[in-house]
Amino acid sequence: MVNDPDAELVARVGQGDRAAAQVLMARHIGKMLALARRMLSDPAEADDAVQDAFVQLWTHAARWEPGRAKFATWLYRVTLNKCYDRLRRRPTARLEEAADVADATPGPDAALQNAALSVQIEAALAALPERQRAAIQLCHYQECGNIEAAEILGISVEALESLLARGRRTLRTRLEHLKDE
Amino acid sequence: MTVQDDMTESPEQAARLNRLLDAAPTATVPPALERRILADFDRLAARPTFAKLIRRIADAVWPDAPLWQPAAAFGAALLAGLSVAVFAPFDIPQQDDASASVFALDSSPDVDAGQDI
Repeated sequence: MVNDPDAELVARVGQGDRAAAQVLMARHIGKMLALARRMLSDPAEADDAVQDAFVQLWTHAARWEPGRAKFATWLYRVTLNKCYDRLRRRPTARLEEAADVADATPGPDAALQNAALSVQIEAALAALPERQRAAIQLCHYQECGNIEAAEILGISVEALESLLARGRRTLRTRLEHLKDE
Repeated sequence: MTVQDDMTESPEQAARLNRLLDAAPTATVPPALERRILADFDRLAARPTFAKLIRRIADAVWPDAPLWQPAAAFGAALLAGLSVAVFAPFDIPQQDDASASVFALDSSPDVDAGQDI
């Protein structure tokens, strides 16, 4: 039996409780959006992917069976699948262009100082194969444990560790020239 | 940090890469996206479904009760009705063929009631 902090909220959402939907959305939208933006390197498309994931949540909430899996794991997996769907539909050229795409969201002054660094890190992440990128996003940025990240990706923990190792090795090589803060 | 480091990644290399990764911008949630998502919720919540129909009927029968209560009451009533139908010793007298007036509609009448008129 999984102790799930979201289980009660999901049940209420299934009964049409708008306030519960709002709380659930506020709890997860940040991480979902970060994951989608990292995967798609396109803020508008990432927004659409997250919206699609929430539509799936609203549709399936009434049928959610607590205890079978952690809700957040399921939700991030849905988000990731929505991103994969969009990546599959893209022309190949756009995947290559993705490495050059910077985050379009304007940042405060402190962020502007590090803009060049951020752009290069974003580009290096965007150039990674999608599963390596997802593994690094989940484990580094969302601080998922290896078991949870492997569940979200639908792979074994060993496979996740291999993805992480390869992704980090590639990033180290690509970011070698950057000065550390 | 929960990242499983590569065997070839030294602690210094791992720490440096983690610092660089932390320098990447974080996503801010646009309010318009939140409004779109909640609008989807409202649209789907307003859509009629079979489950909602059952819920409405249950509320009409037994307001504010959990669904299992009207369902259990309905089940118990159904079981009681079936038990009475199967096991109750009703004594309905049967008519035998001798006492029944049997006639065929397509046979010719023995008496023509109108012949002497």
